[in-house]
Amino acid sequence: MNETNHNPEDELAPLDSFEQQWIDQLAQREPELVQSEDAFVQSVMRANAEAHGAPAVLGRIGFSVLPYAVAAALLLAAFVGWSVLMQDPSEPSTADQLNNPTQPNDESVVTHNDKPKVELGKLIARVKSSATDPAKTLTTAVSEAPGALSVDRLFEVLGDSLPDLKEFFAPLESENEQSRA
Amino acid sequence: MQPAPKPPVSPAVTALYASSDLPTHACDDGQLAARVASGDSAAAEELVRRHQAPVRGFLRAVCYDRSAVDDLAQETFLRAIKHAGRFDAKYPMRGWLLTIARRLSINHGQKAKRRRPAAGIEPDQLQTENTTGPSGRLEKQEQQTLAKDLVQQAMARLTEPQRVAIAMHYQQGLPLDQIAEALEMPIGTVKSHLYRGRQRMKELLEPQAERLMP
Repeated sequence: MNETNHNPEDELAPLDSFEQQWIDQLAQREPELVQSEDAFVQSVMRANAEAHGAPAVLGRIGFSVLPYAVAAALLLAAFVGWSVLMQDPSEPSTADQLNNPTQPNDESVVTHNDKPKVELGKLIARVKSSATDPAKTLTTAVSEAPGALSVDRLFEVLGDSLPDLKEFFAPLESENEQSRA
Repeated sequence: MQPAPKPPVSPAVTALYASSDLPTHACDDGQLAARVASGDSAAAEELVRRHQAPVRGFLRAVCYDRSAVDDLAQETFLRAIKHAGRFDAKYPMRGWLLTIARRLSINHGQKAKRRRPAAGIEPDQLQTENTTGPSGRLEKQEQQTLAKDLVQQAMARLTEPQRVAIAMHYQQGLPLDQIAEALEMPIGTVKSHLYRGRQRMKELLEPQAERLMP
């Protein structure tokens, strides 16, 4: 060992008689601690039972009941899934989608599913009675409708009606061509 | 010559310990901890009974608040029972318990300081009460109580690591390497705390030498 770097703290000196005196005091067991040993042990065991007793019992019950609980949960999930699948899937409300496409469907507006079709029928009747430019009349009428619907959007939503409308427009267009000629 | 380190205890051995039919008082600390971890309440009681004296004595030495000693000791054992599965039988149970107790004591001291920030300890004045008996002389019991109280007061004036190192080494008899592990510091630092702690205790107690030595 390098003597010049020796730190007196590195090696602990033996205890002198004075130090031994106070260390004896420190190490001496206090009578009150000795007398209360049993009471202390019992208080720890009581606290332990209170802290962990209920969960331990639940844990033991849990282990025996767990397979049944899992089976019941699976049965319930299967039943809920089956009942959802068996429900008649209702189409989203057309009227609702036209007015607010982001709003989810609602049963209260399903009864209004045919309303746009009725409105479209009225528009077509107006267009049909227009002698000058039916296509322009239809476009104007639709763009003036509540919510400023576009014709394309209307056709997109009412896809089933599109062939009929095309059939409807074809003779109108030919009549227009003839009248212009 | 230092004894060879014990090999690590495998889970299989721990399970064997836990299933042992030995009476709890005949189990060593590793067997006891394994049984406690498996939910054996008789083993938990034996663990508390076996180690309550050193844990409570240690907390008396290191904790300012003497009224909190038994609460802290109880919490120490509750945690030890709860986490008995984490006990490594390579090391002595006492060191593990004292480490838990020390952490709880530090937390308690910090909470108490927040509650009473102005509370402090006079640097060098140890307070002594004149508890003379009817004869005008200190009775033996009173003398011992006074001496112990002086030592406690002096301990309270050390830094926390000095106090804990002295309590672990000189009161509890833990070797330096185990203290170093418990305090998470090198052995040289532990020695330094012990050295300075002893010096400080001497400064504080020498003026009271007459009262200290019956």
